Amino acid sequence: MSELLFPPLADGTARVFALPPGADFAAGLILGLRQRAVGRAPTLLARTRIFVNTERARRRLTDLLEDGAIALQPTIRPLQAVTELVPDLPPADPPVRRTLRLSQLVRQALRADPSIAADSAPYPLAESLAALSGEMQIEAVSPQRFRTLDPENAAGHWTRSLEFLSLIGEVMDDPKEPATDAESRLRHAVETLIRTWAEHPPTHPVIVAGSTGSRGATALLMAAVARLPQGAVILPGLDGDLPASVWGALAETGLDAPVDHPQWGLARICRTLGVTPSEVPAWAPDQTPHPSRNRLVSLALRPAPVTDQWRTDGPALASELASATQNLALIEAKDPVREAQSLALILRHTVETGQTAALITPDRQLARRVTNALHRWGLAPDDSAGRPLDLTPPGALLRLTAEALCNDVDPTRLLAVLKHPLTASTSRQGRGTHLGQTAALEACLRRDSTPQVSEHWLERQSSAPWEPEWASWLSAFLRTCATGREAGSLADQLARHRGVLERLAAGPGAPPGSAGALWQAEAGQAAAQAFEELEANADAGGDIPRSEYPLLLRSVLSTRDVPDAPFAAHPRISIWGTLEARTQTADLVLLAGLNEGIWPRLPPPDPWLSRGMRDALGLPLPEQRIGLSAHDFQQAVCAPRVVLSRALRQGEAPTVPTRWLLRLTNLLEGLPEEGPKALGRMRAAGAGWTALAATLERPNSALPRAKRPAPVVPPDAFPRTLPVTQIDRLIRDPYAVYAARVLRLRPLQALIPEADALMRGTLTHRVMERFIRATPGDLPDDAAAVLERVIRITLTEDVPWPALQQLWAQRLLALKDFIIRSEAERRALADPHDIEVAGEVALTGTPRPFLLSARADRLDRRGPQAAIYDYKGTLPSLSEARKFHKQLPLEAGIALRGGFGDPPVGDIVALHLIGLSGTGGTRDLTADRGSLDADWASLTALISAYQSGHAAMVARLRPKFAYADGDYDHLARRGEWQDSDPAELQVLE
Amino acid sequence: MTRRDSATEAQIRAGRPDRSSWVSANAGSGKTRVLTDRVARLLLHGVDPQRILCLTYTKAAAGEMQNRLFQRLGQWSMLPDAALRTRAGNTG
Repeated sequence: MSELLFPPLADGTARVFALPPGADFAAGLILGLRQRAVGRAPTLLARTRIFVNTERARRRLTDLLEDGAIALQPTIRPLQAVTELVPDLPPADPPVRRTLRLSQLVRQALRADPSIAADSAPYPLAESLAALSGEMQIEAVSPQRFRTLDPENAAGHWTRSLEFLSLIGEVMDDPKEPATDAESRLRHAVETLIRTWAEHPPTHPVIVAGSTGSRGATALLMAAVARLPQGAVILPGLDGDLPASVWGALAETGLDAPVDHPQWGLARICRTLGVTPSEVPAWAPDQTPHPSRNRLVSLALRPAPVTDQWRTDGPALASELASATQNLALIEAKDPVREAQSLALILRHTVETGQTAALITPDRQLARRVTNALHRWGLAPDDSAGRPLDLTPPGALLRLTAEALCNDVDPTRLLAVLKHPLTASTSRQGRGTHLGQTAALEACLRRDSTPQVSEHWLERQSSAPWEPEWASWLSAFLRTCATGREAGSLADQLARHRGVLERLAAGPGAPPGSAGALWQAEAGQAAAQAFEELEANADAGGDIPRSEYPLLLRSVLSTRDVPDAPFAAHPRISIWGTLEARTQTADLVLLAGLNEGIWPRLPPPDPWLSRGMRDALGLPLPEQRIGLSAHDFQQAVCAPRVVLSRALRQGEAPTVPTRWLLRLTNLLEGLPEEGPKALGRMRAAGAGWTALAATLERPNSALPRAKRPAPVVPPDAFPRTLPVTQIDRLIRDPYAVYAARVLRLRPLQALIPEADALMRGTLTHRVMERFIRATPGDLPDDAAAVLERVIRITLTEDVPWPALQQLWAQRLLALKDFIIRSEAERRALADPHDIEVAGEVALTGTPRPFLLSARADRLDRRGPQAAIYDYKGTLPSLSEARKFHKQLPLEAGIALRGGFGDPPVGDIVALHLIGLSGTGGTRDLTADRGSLDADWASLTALISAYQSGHAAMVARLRPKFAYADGDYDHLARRGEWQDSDPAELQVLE
Repeated sequence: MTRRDSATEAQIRAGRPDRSSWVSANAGSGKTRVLTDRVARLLLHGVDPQRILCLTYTKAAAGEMQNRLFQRLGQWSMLPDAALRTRAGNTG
C-alpha cells in the first residue's frame, strides 16, 4: 500500500489541477480525493489538510462529507486559517482600531488644511485609507514606496493625495504599535510558513482549492503549496476551451492588459505557479455539465482584441447551439419588481419539483424583493448575506440615541426613540405602560408643539397624565441629551452613550445595570460585540467632536452583517452572493440583476491612487474586480440549468445589459440561422415566467369606484350646536361638517410646529389684540411706534425660528400704514370693547333645539351701537364674501339677540372683514336689519332641513376651488368621483 | 451606394467627428442616431474608447445612447466584411 496521495513531482515543477466552469466545485473536489485515495490507507485522507477560499465553502464540503463516503475525514479550513499553523502570532487587532488611529491623523491633517478634502468627515476618509492600507499589507507594498512614485507624471491632485497617503505610513510603520491587522498577520503567516516549509516540508497532503490567487498573499501560499512533496493546488473554473493563442494574450501585464477577462486571474496564477494554463490537468473527470455551453460561453467572452474569432470560430458552434442553450432561459423583465416576481415563481416551481435552486446576485435589493415575493407562499430562502447591523433593531436604536445625544431632541426624534421596539423592553407589562405614556406624550406634543423637547417643556405639561416614575425616567434622558455637548474623548462619549442606551432600553423602574432586551438575540449580541470592540479600542480614537460621533458609530455598525435568521429556512432554495457561488452550485441557478453597474459593479472610484500609480506600486488595478466578477459569471452560467435575468428599466431609465450578456446575445444573433433561433428559445422560456408574474399581479375582479358621498343623518345625530365658522362650511362642504361634527374626526396636528398660514393667522390676531389693548381709547399720536413695538415683541415670543421672525416682521411692518389708517376709521365708529369674545343664541323655530355659537375676533361698542370685525389672512372678493361669508352677519344676529352679553346691542354699524396680508384691505359687509334677519331665517331653514332628515351632507357642495384639497376629501374618496358627479344619497340610521 | 436624401446628408454632416455640431430637431428625427454614428465614426478612425466622453442630462438618455451604440457595434461585430463596409459607409 502506497502512502502517497500524489505521485512524486519532477524537480522544479508544480502540482496544479483544475475544475472546469460549471462544475460543482465541492462535489468535484471530493470525487477527485476519493478516486486518488482508492487503495490507500484510510489515515492518508485523515492526514490531508485542505484550505478552501471561504468559510461557506468549508461548511459545504463538510456537509457533503457527512454522507460517510470518506471514513476518516480530511481537515478542511478556510484560507484565513493558515495563521493557525504559525505559532506565536500576536492576536489580530480588530479592523476598527486601525481606522480609529487613521481617523485621528486625518482629523489633524484636515484641521491643518481643510482644502484637502472639503466637507469630508474624517472617519469615512479613514475607512477608505484603512482599506488601502490592508490592500498594501496583503500585497506586501511598503508605504515607503509612495516616495518612489514619480509625481511629475501625475496631475496635481495626485501629488496632494500622495502627501495625504503618508498618513498610512505613520500608522503602518509606527514603532510604538506595530500593525497587527488581519491582512498583515495573514501575509506574515504565509511568509513564515514558506520559510518553515523550505526547511521542513510537510509530508502529508496539503491542498489549496477554489482560490484564483487574486490577492498577493494567497498567490504566494498557493505557489508554495504547489511545490510541496504532497502539495496541490486546485483552480476553480479554468476554461479548457481557450486556445493557446488567447492564453498568450491573457498573459500580458501592465495598464493595457485584459484584466477584465474572466480567465485573466487564472492566467496570472498559472504564471506564478509556473504552469501552462492549457495543459493543467483536470482534478476529476467529466465535471462539465454542458461541454457545448462551455465552448459557447468561452467564445462569447474572448478578450476584446481577438473577438474577430467570433466570425471564424462561431460557425463551427452552429451545430451544437441547440444543446449549448438547452436549459438556459433569459428573462428580460420590464422592471426590477417584475424580475423579482418572476424569479420567485421559478424558485417556487423548483421547490415543487423537489430540486434545489440558488439565486445568485450581487444586488441585495433584488434579493430582498425575491425574499418578500416568496413570503407570499410561506417560503423562506436560506440567504447567505445578512443585514447590515445599522439596519437591525438594536442598530437603529444605537443610531437614534447617538443622534439624540449629539443634536437637538426634536419631537420626531424623541418619539422615534420612545417608540423603538427595544425601548423599555424589560417586561411586556412595562412596555405596555410605556407605550400608553408615549401615546399621551405624543398627544401633548401635537397640542403644545415645540421644536425641541426639553425637561422644561415636560414640566409645563401640567395636565399630562404621566406616572411620576415614567416622567422622571424621561426627564433624565432629556437632561443627559441637553448637557455635555462639548468635544470629548471617544471613551467618554461611548460611556455616556452606553449609560443612556441601557437606561432607555431597561425602562422606568428597572434595576440598575439592566438593559432590557437591547443586547439580546443575534442582532443584539452583534451590536453588543461591536460596541464593546469600540470601547476596547477607544484609546485609538482620541478626542472627537461630538458632531462626528453619530457618523462614526454608524460607519462602524454598517460594516458588520447580521445573518437574517429566518424561522425555518427552506432547505432547497438559497440566495447567494457571487462570492458564495464560487464553490457551490444547485440544480437550477438563477443569475439575476445582469445589468451594467449591478453585475459587474462599477469599480468604486479610488480617491487616492490613479491606475498608473497603482500599477507602479504593484497593487491590483480596479478592473481586476470586473475580471473576478466575470469569472463568477462564467462559472455560474455553465451550471446544469440556468436562468439569466435582468430588468429592462430601473426607475425612469433604460438599463444597459451586462457586458457578458451583451456579448452572448450579440454572438448568437450574428450566427446564421441557429443563433437567433437559440436566443429566441431562451427568451421565450423567460417570457413564460414574466407573463405568469404579470398574471399574478392582476387582480381577479375590479372594485367599483366610490360615489360622491351624501349622507343624510338621523335628526338626533345632527349636531345640537355649531359655531358660525362651521355654518360657512355647512354651506360649502356639508360632508366636512359631517366628518368633523357627526363622526368627530379631527385632522392630526403636526408634530413639529410648521410656519404655515395657520401660525401666521394666529400671530396677526395676537398682534392686533396687543395693539388694541395698548391703545384702549383714541389712537395716540405715536400709534405707529406702538404697533411696531408690538409686532417685534410678538414675533420674538411666538415664532421659534429667528430667520422667520425677520421675514414675517417685514411682512407685518408693511401693513403698518394700513392698520393705523383703518384703525382711525374704526375708532370713529365705536370703541374697542371685546376681543375674542364668545357668544351664543338658541335658534327658535327649528324642530329640535339648536345653539349657534360664535367667537368674534373683535366687538366694538358705543352706546347701543356695535361694530363686529373679523381678521383674515386672505380676503375674499366682495361678491364672494356677501354670498358665502355668513360668519359676520350671523355674529351680528347673535349680538342683536343679546348673545354677546350685556348691554344688548341695539344697532350694528359695521361688519368688516379686515385683510392682514400684502398692504391690507377691508371688505365691508355692513347690512341693514332686514338683510340680517333674512340671513338668520335662512340659517333657521337650513338647520331645520338637516334636523328633519331632509337634507344630505353632500361632499363639496359648493367648493371654493376645484383644485384645493379639504381635510376630509380623502375620507370622502374624492378622486374616485368628481365635483360634477351627482351625489348619491345615503340615509343613515 | 444609394443616393441619400437631404436629411440623411445633414445627419452625416453633423456626425463628422472633426467638427463641432449643434443639433436640434424634432423628437424621433434621429438626434441620438447622429450621436451614436459620431461615436462609431470616431471608433472607426481608431480613437481609443477610453478617450470618448458622452454626456447627457439624464440617466435615461445615457442608457438609451449606450444601448443604441452597443446594438450597432454588436451587429457589426458579426457582419461579413462586405456588408460591414456598406453599413460603416452609411454612417458617413
